[in-house]
Amino acid sequence: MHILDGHLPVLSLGVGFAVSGGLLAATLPSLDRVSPPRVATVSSAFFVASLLRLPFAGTSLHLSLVGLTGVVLGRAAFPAVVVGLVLQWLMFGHGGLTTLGVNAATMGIGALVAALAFHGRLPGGPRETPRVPRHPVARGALAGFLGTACSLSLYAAALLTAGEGLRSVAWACVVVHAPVLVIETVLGASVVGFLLRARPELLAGAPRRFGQGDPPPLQEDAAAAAAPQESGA
Amino acid sequence: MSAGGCVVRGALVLAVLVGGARPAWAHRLQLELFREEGGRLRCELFFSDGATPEGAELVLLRLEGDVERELARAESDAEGVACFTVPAPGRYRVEARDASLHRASRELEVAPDEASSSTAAVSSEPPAARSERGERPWGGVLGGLLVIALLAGGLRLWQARRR
Repeated sequence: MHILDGHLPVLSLGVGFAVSGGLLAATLPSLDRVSPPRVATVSSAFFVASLLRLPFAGTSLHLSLVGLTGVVLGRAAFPAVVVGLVLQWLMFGHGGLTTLGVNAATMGIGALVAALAFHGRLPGGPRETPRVPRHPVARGALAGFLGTACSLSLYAAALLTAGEGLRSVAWACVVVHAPVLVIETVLGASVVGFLLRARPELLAGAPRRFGQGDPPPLQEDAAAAAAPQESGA
Repeated sequence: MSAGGCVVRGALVLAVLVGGARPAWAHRLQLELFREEGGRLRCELFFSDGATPEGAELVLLRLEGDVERELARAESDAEGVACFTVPAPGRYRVEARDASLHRASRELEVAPDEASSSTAAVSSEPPAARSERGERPWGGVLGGLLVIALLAGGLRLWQARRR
């Protein structure tokens, strides 16, 4: 799902850098409220996932994990995606230097959409109360699906800006990536199900501050606890 | 320089040392050209992790000064192979593109006495490319993970200094 150098017009590349630069500036402050090991772990997973290759329909696809990145990191997913993409380009040759902005925008926005789908908000802001949303497994599947679908749609839209020559290729790419959409959906549900048992605080969108101890207790039923928590915030 | 800045710069230097000096182009489409009996040109497409793209589009171009003239098109088979017939001595380029827009190209020069020569590999590629076939980019993986770990350390230092 990386766009390579030499395909997109200069205007699209500029828009990509502008959008991703703006989103990076808006989401960087959230790194102050997230645990560094957490962001490193998710960035590493995002970085390495691109090596899990799926041969399909004459090309080579790979997972993106934008859904899970958004679910666990919230707003901090965007900087994590940017770091992962830079390293994927440097180390594996995925994407390109000129398309870094477009690729960051397509995948980063997908991660933010996944965070919205899972939490119903964008975790990472100040004075937030951590909580696991209702039906987390179903929401995990939804986050995996919507995050990847959003990234794919933006990927196709970026290719469409290249003109008539890449129109058919853009649609073909979307079709070819359909298995990735399915796998990311299943992966979203299964990983969220696992984390719910093993480390539920990772699903709470907890703005954990370094040196301030563990996040507050989690609440499975957000609706039941929403009123007193929101008045406290 | 702040401690966080030192960590970030150290991470970048280590990235260059560990992985950047010889990037593992795991997902790069690569193209090898071989001339076979009767002047036939065999084109082999592959990703450096060993996968082969089926249905990739290959174009044979004749290069005449600044002018490029398309001579033929072909699609790769399941083995990532397509063949052309090179009709005459001259300079040629083969361009390939798969369904996900991965691209590769190679140039070759056919001398007058080679136009119908026997089997010979075209040496128009970096020598490392063939040996990379089937390799996993472990150096790149380790380098990337190291950079992420160092960036996380820098983030932790930055958070601590802000409080």
